[in-house]
Amino acid sequence: MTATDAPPTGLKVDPVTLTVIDNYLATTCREMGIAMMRTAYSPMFNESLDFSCVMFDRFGRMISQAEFCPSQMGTIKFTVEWMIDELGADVYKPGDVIIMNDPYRGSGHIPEHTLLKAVFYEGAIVAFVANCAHLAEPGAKAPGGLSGDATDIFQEGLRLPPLWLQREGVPQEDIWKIIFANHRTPKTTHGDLMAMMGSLNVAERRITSLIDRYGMETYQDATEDLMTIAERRMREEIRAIPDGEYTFKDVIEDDGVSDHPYTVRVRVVVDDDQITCDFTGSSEQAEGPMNGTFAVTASAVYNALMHLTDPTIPRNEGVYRPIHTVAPPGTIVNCEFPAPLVGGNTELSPRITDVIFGALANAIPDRVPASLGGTSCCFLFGGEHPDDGEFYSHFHFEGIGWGGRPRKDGNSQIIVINGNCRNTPVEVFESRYPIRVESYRLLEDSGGPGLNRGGLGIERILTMQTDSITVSAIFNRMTVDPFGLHGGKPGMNSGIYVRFADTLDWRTFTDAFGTESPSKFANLTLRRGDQVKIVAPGGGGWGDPMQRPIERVKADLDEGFITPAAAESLYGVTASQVADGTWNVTPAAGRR
Amino acid sequence: MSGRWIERSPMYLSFDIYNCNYCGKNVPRNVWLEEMGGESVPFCSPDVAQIYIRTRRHPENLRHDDAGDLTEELREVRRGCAALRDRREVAESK
Repeated sequence: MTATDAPPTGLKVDPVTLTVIDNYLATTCREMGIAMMRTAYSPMFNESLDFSCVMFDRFGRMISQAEFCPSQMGTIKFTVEWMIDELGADVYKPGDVIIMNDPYRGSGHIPEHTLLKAVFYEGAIVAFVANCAHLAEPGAKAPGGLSGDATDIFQEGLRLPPLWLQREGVPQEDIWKIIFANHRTPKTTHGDLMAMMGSLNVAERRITSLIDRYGMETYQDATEDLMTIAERRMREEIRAIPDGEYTFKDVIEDDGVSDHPYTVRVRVVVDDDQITCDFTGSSEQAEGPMNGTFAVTASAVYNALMHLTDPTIPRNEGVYRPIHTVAPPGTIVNCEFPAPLVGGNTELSPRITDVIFGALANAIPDRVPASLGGTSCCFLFGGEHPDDGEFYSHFHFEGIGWGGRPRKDGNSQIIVINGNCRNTPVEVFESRYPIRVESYRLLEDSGGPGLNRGGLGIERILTMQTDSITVSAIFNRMTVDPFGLHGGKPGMNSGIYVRFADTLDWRTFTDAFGTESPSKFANLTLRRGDQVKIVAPGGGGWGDPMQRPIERVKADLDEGFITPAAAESLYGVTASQVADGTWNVTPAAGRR
Repeated sequence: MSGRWIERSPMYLSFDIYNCNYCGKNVPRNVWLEEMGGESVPFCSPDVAQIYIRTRRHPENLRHDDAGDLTEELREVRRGCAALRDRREVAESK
């Protein structure tokens, strides 16, 4: 061994082997995801990629993950801890698979089911492998599970404590039957759960193969070292943030049951090499489903800080150690049983990320973006399919504009920060469900004006192609703007509207159906020819829009990202069209 | 200081949640119950309960809207609570 390949201080494994094992573990997590994507039945898996794959050591400490859904990767730490603790670490046998989706036991919300398997080597547990995935149909009061007007957890679907889905390789038929009997689409559930089990088998094989190659001692030392490295590097990242207390607040505009707004308030305390995000002072828990559990809140905290720190730090237990969350029970950030919470994981989570961005905006202005659109634009629907008479159910979400960044514009039409998913392509959407996509386009002027503009939201118009479709929705940012930073302006709000067949006017669902909230509702019936218009919000702008170089304003005009009127009023630029898609621009008199 | 570790029963016939009085986390199984003023108050660990007693803060204070007066001591408590014990150390101490 030379001086350069010796283990660094305090570590047991040399850097080359550590790097190989770290990449092997992360690649295995990716392979787990590919297995699910290719074998599942639901577009939620094979198109949206609304799942995550993670590995833990024999003590239940996370040793690796890959680039999946941030909200799941944060909550799964708590989910798996709970599963192991509730059942006990000594109950597993080879071939056992445990399932759980209970949010009051550490899961994000009921549609997200976690499967866990212990990996054995020479008769002893050497790891736990797990995946978490959003099933398209969890047996809630509304098809798709996101009931925008739910008033307790029992309306949000079938709640499973840790249960054996498989014992020593044998499927537990009774458990499967209970699940199938409660889900509207049992065939899809079956296919998706089987895909998840296959993914666990991939990880199991890879870990035993790794130990065959390097030996047990090196495997265990390496995972320990990788956690140590991740912790050290994250502490260094935090140490680079000026010590201090930073505060911010934002609002969840309503909860689907009342029009009461809820404040999410954070105090970020940076103290040398650790950081605490304290949500004391946030509003009491909501009557409707906009609450989050502790796991959801902590996960959103991790997500925010992962976005602001070095992305090359190994993602394992160590990276979380210097990051602390305080979330008082009974508040919107840590609701108490049996409060409804299905929208917390989709809507509260990005709001938490945003308030942490807002709080740190002045501490590390060179790293923090403005607010993203901040909603998953959840549109759920289901019914009896006219082609085969079988029930279908789908959770459609929409890309939004992200906030302008210190050095770049925000990205356009990207799924919300807690999701890292994709929406379902139009062709797949139309072939699977009796809904036609009439139009789908970036929405001009939706990005918040700024030196660096917010990303654009979109507009999508859907036409119902069957006599009866049940729809539900959970949106936010319909009345509260995505905020700008450092002089940047807000992004455009979201919206969801209905136009009945043979009528001309777009109406809010409150106007058309009398729902309490225009953005959160459940179980409304649309008929053939009725249309729904989804407007996904833009991101907030970063910096003074009058400082945006005039050639970048021209580029936005040429691309159709902004209108001439916005160029004049928001950027101080007068535009005249010289050809289709080409503009001449000059500074407006006295505006710049 | 007086208290005891309890093992939370699985929540099948009732649904008893133990939230740590500082960080708010649901404690899955091993809960430290500190006897305080005739009440059993749950915590992540006895260390946290000790610091809590030093700060003499009542849990109800954590729900107030005036988050503007957090003391240095209280911040220390919260850091201590959130820095949960390493699961390997817990397993190996049994």
